[in-house]
Amino acid sequence: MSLARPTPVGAFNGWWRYRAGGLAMVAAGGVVFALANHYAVYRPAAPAAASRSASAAQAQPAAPSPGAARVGRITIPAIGVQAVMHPLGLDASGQMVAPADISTVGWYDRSVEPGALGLSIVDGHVDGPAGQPGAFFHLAQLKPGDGITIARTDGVAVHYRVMSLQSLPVAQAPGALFSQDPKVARQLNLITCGGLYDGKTGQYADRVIVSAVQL
Amino acid sequence: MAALALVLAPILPIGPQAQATGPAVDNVATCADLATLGTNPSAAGDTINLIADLDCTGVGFTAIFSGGFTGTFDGHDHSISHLTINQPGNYDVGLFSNTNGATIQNLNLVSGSVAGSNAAGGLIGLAQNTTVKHVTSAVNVSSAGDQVGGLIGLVQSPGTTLIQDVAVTGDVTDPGGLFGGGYVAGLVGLVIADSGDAATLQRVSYAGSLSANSGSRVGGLMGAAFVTGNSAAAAVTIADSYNAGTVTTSDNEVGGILGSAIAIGSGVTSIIDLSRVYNRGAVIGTDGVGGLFGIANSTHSGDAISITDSFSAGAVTATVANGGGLVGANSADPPTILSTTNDFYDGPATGQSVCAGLLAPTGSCTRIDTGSQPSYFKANRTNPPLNNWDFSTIWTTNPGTYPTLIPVSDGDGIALAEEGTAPNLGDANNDGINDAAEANVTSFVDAVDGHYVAVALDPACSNGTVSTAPESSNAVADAGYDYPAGLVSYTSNCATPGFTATVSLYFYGVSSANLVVRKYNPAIHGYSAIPGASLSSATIGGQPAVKATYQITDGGALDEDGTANGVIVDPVGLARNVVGAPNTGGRF
Repeated sequence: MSLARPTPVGAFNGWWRYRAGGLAMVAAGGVVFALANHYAVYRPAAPAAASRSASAAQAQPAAPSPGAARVGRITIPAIGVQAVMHPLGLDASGQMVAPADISTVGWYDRSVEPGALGLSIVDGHVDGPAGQPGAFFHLAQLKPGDGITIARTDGVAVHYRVMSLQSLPVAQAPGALFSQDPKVARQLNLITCGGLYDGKTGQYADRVIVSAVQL
Repeated sequence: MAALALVLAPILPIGPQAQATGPAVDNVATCADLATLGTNPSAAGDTINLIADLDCTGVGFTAIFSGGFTGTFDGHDHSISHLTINQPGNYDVGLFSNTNGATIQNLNLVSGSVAGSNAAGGLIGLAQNTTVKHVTSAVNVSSAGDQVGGLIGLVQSPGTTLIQDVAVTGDVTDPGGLFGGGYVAGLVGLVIADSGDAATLQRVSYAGSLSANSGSRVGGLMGAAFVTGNSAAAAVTIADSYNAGTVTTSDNEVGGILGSAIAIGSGVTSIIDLSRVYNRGAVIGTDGVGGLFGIANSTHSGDAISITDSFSAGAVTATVANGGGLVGANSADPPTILSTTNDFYDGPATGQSVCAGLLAPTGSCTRIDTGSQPSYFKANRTNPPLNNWDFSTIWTTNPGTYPTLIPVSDGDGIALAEEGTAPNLGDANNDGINDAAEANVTSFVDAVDGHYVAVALDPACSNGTVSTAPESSNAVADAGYDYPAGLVSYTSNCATPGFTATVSLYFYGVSSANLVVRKYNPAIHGYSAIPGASLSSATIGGQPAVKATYQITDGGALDEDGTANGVIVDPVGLARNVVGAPNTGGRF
């Protein structure tokens, strides 16, 4: 199902395509599950300035760690993503910082650099303060086998293939977000918001986590 | 020096030609080589190392070093199996015929039989001034003569003999001959200690079946001790030891530990002492049958025969006379000075109502009615005399039964003292058995937080190396979790490839709040949650602990070596989430 959404506003790069509709996904294990989508609660867009100020505290990017700034852009053709990546760290409360610009994504600078042995983590907004789609607006529509490419600033292109997708209550999200499949040497986990939006808390109930294996 | 060409192991790159000084070294890899070496008198003073398990099937073996072995034999924890020595007409028969000034250690005689005449033992026929340490024997011994032991037939003066950390489980049979057989025991048939001599059995046990058809002076550990010092004190001591085997004879002077204690020195002190010993095997004889001693006999007032902090709990049957819960008989002529201190006997189990069948000893010897206190001696560390036993490094309790000795090593690389001082009196996983006595349970001090950790796998597994290390020692840190007690790395050999083991980890000194169980795979620099792992809090031995339980399959995703090879390798730790998921919805 879908509810009418306002026309996207704000600075978009022209790559974004509006895709309404329910989100039926097939996880790696073949289990079909439906994600409670973020259209479920419609809230008219608030003035951009007010919402920005509210999100500023958590959106301050952490200083990139030395040698960790080789992330450049992420491309996910299946959902039309082509976004600039920035290194991001933690806020004062120990929470991963989300990008200040909803059209960009953040590489968590305590994860390994894309292409290195281990787990790389990238976060992006599902939508913005006025309800406009963020860089990972369609992340929940990815399917196993879809391709992801991260172009590093050193000219290296790192290619991934989606393995699985999960939607978890926010409290359970860290367990999946920070976990690497024991059989996968180089893994990329992407995260954005999902589930029902709670207007009182200003939070989505769930987090959508996509796991991909480097090719 | 041995003239034989013997196999030299790569791990022990030494040999006769490599020794500029000192005894020659012979590294033995086959039973045939050992049999041949043992016939060479020039090798009698060598250092002999076993570098492999020996299978003596089909090897015509006679007792080695009949002229006396004076060197060092180190089995390096290897085994000898199917040892067959059949010399029923010979004196001094055992794997070693006789020894003098020798050391024999770290050897497992796992199967076979020894048949000899007088002075027959599974390991040594006749021993003088000899040390035997860390030996097990399941070899069956038979003789129609005298001085027959599961380990040693006769320990003879002069010198000091030490038998330490030895467990014998083979049967001992003496059917008797024309003149009957005597001095028969699970470990040492007869000990003769003269002036200045000392013979000590320490941390030894017997758990076979002993039958002496018509022999007197029969005991679970020692048939008889003759202490005969005239010019200097002499002593025979048995400490921290037990008998669980059955002891049966159709003759007299029979004890669960020692058949006859005879201190007959003249003008000097002759000592026979039992400390912290117990018997739980059935003891059957005719006259002078006791739970620990058959008879005690001293001839001079200065001699001392004593039993301290010990108990008897096996059935005692004296078919003729003088059965006692602790002692069969004290010799009355002259009056024997047998002192008992803090000793006990199980009334219902021994079937005896008196401590000694003839002449009560001086001191404390108390009957315990285990009908009303069935667990008095079982799984207990606090009832006297157990309260005076070392349950950290020597003894372990066992659920529902009597204490047993902690083996010298349970193979997990952690010192006995460290496991022995783990929480809950050395039983950190609270299974009723000291961790130091279990190959599948390892407790040790966490190098990260200084508190104890216990790693317990299925009983089918034997732990190898164990250690803890901080998260920072890994190639990458966990991006979202901290490990307050570090990560525990262990290897365990579960024998069967593909085996699925249940693993329980006990962490002391860690708050249980918000913990999960995660593992690190160094091959991929990856951390992950362990599927199906459970966490619970417990109070063990009065200390709070966090218990993590999960299953791991050899060769499965959690096994670091990734191969179904019977060996599980698993770095794992308690993790606490310290990074929250980002707020990636921008609406407010």
